[in-house]
Amino acid sequence: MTEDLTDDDIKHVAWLARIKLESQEEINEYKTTFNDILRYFKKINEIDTEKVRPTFHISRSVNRFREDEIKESLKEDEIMQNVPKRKDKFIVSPRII
Amino acid sequence: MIRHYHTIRDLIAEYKSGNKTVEDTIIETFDRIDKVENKVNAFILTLKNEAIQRAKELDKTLKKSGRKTKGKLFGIPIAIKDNICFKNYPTTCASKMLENYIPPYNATVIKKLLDEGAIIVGKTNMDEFAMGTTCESSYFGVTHNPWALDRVPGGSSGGSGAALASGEVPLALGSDTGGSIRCPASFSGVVGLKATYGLVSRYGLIAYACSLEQIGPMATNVSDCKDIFDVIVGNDPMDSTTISKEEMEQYLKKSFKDFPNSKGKFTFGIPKELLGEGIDPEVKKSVWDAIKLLEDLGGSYEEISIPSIDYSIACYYIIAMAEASSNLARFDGIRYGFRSEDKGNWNEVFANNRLAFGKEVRRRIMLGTYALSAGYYDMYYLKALKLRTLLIQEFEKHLKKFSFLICPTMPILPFKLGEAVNDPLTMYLADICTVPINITGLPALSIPCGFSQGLPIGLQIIGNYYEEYKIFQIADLYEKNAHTKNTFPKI
Repeated sequence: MTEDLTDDDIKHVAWLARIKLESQEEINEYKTTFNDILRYFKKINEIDTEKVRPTFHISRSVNRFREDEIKESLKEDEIMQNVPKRKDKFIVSPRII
Repeated sequence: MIRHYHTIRDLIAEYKSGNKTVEDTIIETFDRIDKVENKVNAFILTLKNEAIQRAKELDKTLKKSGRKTKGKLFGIPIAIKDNICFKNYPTTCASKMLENYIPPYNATVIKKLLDEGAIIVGKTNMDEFAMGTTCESSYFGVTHNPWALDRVPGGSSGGSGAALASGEVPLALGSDTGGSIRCPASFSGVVGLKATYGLVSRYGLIAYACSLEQIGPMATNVSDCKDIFDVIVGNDPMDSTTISKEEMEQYLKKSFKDFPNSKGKFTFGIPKELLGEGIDPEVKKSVWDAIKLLEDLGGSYEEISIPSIDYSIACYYIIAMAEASSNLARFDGIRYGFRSEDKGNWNEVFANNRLAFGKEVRRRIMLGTYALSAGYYDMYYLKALKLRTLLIQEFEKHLKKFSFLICPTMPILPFKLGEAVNDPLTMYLADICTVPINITGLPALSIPCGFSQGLPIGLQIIGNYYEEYKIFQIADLYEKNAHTKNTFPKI
């Protein structure tokens, strides 16, 4: 059984999820709520599922294929209409390195 | 009573007979919206000019065709939950993240509604990204329950529920990932259906947890709910999880003409886990009254046990949060959505942009990320998926024997506004009766079955896979005899 989450665990998960933490107070709040919720989640370990297969999806259909036909799709302007920062035909991104 | 007709079929009949124009209906709709919206706040966006324009066009078509209407929803006003894309109008998911997002395409369900002559009058409020049971986490303010303005309307499709209950619209669409149609249907005293997974296209629904959610109909009576369901159901090449064309043909051929059987008999099971401890006594009483009525109407019941239900909340939230963390990873604020000042490198800007998510959304993304992360995957996510298998097996066993399973939709009366908002676990626990239906993919309908302290109580009718029409039949029978049809609060 795992231990309660620490400050470092919260910081690590926030980083993985790319969610900025703004204060120690916020970290404390997440820590308390998450530990409460995870304690409740651990209830599922009471059931033995050794021989049970997981169900990822209800849908019983497997891969569904279609012909690779050329069809009309969205126009360039329509695709670009929601871009917050653009230059001509390009999306402006922050620096990567 | 603000409505002079009983069902949308009556309203369409009035258009045909010339007693009423579509424009009249739309003007009445907006008069009502103008009158109550400041108390209820059901809408994020209303589209008055567009709706009147469309009504005029439909009236013209009607005149030209010699008063013949085309379309099952001809001239009927409808409200759409704001996580369903309506081309060229903001679709915000009640989030700052998508405050300015304008979809360049229609969701498949929107296309189907418009093809049948429906008039979209607005986009309804909801919990941010459909994550909630109270409709309080919206970036655009809370929605009030029309039956008691200091209470929540239920969530996450709370705006749709409240718009129906307050008589603003006769029809609405919601989406249901863990009860988000049935909970507001119960709390606001209207009818709502979550269909079998795969029957309604999710194309154009902003994703929260793909393997659990379905768009579905909400209305003030069973007949209307069925009519809108008939329009939105079906295969969609744009959503590979929808039922195949061949299966759809079979589905439509399936006849329930002989149901209940010729002697008017049917059977149902009552899962003791959903009508015992933890259920409010007033809710229990109301549901037992409904069970007695169903017995009088030809039903016979047995109390049954579905032990895995006790683990279904944990199972549901682990799966939903895991899927949410993956689905919401797309919101980088670069291609669309909220973009902050460019401070720092890619990762920093990305993390800054995602501050546009509210508290509960961040919580679910982070917990989902944790449940999927190295070292915890087997313990949480995989374990939850195995429990899902067990839950499906247990439900299937009982649904082989019984036509339905009956229980409350919500174990409690509507929360007071603010009561549960800072206590996520308490809020999650209120989903005990609804989440098993999403985990298993079964269909279930919520229908009003009584009141306590002036607050509505909902009855949940669960059916076997692809047996929505059987559910509609029994719900219709119940509604006629319980006289719950079109009950509105004074507001």
